[in-house]
Amino acid sequence: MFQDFSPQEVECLPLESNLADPYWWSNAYRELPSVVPGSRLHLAVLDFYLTQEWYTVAQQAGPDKCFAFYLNRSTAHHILSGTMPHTLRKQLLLPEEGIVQQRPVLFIQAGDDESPYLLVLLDYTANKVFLFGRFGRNPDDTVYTTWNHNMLWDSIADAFGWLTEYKEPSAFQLDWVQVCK
Amino acid sequence: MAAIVHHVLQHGWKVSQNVGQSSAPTSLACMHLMRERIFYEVLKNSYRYYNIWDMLEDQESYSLTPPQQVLDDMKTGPTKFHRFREIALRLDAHRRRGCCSCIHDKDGYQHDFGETVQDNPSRHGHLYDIAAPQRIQSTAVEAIPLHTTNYNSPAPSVNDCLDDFDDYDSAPVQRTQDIGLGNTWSFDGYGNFMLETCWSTWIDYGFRLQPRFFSMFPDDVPAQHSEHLLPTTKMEKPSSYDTESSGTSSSSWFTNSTMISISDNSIPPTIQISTPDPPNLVLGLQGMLDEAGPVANTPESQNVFVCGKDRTGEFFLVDPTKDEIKVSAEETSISPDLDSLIYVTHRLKFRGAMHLHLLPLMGSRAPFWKTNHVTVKVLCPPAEAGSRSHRTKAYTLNQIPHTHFGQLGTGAVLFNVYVFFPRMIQKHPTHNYMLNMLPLPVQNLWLDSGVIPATREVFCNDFPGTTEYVPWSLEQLRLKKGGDRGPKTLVTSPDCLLRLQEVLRSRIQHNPDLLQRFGSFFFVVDSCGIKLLSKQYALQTQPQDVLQNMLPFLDLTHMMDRNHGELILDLGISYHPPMHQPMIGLWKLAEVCTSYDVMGTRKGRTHHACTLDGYGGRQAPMGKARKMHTQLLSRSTYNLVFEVIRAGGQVQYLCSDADAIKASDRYMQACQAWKDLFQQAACKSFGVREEIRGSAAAIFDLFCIASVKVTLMI
Repeated sequence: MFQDFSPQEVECLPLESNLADPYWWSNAYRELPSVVPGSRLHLAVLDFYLTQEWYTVAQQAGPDKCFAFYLNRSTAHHILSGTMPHTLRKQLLLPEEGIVQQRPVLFIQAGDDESPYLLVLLDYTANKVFLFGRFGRNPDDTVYTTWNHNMLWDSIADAFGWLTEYKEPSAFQLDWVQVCK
Repeated sequence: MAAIVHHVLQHGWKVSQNVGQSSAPTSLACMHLMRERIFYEVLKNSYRYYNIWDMLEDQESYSLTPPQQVLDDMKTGPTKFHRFREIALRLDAHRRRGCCSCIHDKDGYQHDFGETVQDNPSRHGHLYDIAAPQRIQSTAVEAIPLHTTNYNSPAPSVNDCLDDFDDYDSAPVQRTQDIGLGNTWSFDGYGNFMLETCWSTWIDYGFRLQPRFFSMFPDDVPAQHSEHLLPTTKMEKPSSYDTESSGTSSSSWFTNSTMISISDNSIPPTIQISTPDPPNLVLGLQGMLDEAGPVANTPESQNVFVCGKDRTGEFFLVDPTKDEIKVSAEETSISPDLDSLIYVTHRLKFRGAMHLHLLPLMGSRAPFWKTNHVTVKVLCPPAEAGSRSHRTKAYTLNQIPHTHFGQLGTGAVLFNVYVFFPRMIQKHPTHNYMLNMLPLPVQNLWLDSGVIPATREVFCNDFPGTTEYVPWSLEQLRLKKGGDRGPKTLVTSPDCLLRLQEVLRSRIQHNPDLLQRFGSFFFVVDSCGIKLLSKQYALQTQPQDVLQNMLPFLDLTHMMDRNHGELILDLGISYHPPMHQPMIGLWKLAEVCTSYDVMGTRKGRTHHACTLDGYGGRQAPMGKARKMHTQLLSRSTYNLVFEVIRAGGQVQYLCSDADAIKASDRYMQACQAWKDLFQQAACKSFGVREEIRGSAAAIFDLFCIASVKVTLMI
């Protein structure tokens, strides 16, 4: 789903030049009518919003003091495909050196535009992966296992220099009743 | 999903160490609020990053070039687009309708007037208490005793509430009215207003209608209404209006032998107040002019008219009866007429075409800015979610938000049709008066998302070949006309109007996010300028038929049916002096008030003619029980000399207070205009007038007897 996206091959990626990419704001703007009640919120809108929210929090508190890290769709995709144009630390405005405390990592996972998307929370402290989404009543972690194979889990831990447990993380689905029409 | 990210970013994430046991956030921002937040943030930030992108020199380094449509939007400023305003309104309304957690204050919003509560509520009925304590009359005269046959008959709407006449289940619970209610996002973060602040308060408060919300009277025929038509009796005590005029005589231009002149009475010596000796000099109105002299603006004339002193510097008494002209009953002509027509209904049905308004009503004041004593009963909002309200409250028309809807007739004879929105009944948040003028953005929404699309739908579906003539949006109309200048109407046939009402209600029901606040709308038809026309028709015999003939575009048979609406009429009776000699009629307030007391009206208001204490007019509504019994609503009495300067619908005469204080040019010009008018009127005659407002049934009856009764009286 990210084939059309070519991240900028820039040495430094400040916040403004990252989000100034029309891929983000233009697509989010075009899909903005999807916020009307009863409509499925478009992924471009949600991801742009959450990315901006994380950057706002990171700028206010400092990226190393955030309670969590949010990875936008392209970042998660490039980690998985091994095509990251720069380090994850740069992407998250963190210093290249030094220790980064273990914190939850959040990102949106979606297959295609029609399928429901999931919020993924990687909890390295508890060695657990939480999937928030609209799963129905039968818990099923196959969604996680089919796309992940722990590659993302390990890559992010490597990027931050976090030691992970030998045991693979457990995946949990957290569902909630949709009240939207 | 976004709320979870929010929570984790703000508060972190903690999880139980028990395997499989996680601790999701216990509270999250509701989805309604989140959607609003996402909308505004994305709108704001997409514009922000567009500006950054626009300033970059290496735009080509990005793989994607924004579509031209997006660029055009950004150059214009995205918040200016109607489609985003509509989204903002939808989100706001959706949150208010669907999310109790967003509405933090659930305290009941208690109106403090006219509310009655049913003792034993029934799902199918909304009772209200019609029994009111009889007002104690302060005067010595007795009001006409009411017969008890239908004295306590309830209005018919009490037990006729259908199960879902007005979408009762959609009514939000009673809530506290507050400016900040619901945290409406009114601007985009850059200080640019996206939604006007009015959207926080012009919402559906949960008021709903009963099927016969308009019924003001029982279905029984009116009783004793003829006895209540301008009754007279002998006064047994002097009234309070005698004090200054004591020792003088009445100066009405006709003398009624059944009335006691003020000079026949004396002040009862109950209270001893030390007062200066009364002046010795008594002047009539002509005497004052003589005393002032023929030249205007002299110290003498100012002494007379401003200070009330003669040329010697002594005070004088004014006695208009010194200029009294006796007029016999034969010389007095009596002219009954239909002064006005007010019709309240849920569904309009006419025999002629109505011109539908397509542009908002401009002006600072609502059409019904003061009470006309016509009320409708409104169901109060439910006290708790899932329940239905059984409390009704009577509101006068001027307490309900409204705007114009259409117009019938041509020239001087016009019937304005207004649409009322009871769901938005509210008080001003700080000044506590009822808000009745719809703000312009709310009117725009009503027209742009309600009236105009509904009109297009009706014309397109039911009347082929009309599409090109029907506007597609308010914006198009404004662009064509260059703003809101002047009226813009669309003519609708009776069939088209009926269909339009159906479509309008349907659109509101199916688009609650935008239009729910407009639900429960009803109409009021108000006449303008029919008095003069009606004087040219013989309404004394078969008034309904004559009226139908006079106003062929109305469907009086339909309007008289109380299942469809309430028809209120004004009977006017003018007393005119002979025209060969100029004279002015003045009501003697003492006699007028006696007549009002006999009629059993409430106190109402007394209007003095200039500064004359004993002369002028009065307006008063009927007491509640008497109103139900006689089906008469109110009475007003005034002097027709007011017509010299009267301008219909005008509130402020001469000029503003500020202009008068500054003695500005506007004030001077207005004074000169009045002087000219009075000078021209000096050679004319002016009579006096009575007006009685009541149900159509009662007024039609009175038409048949009015002339005879009044002639006998004088």
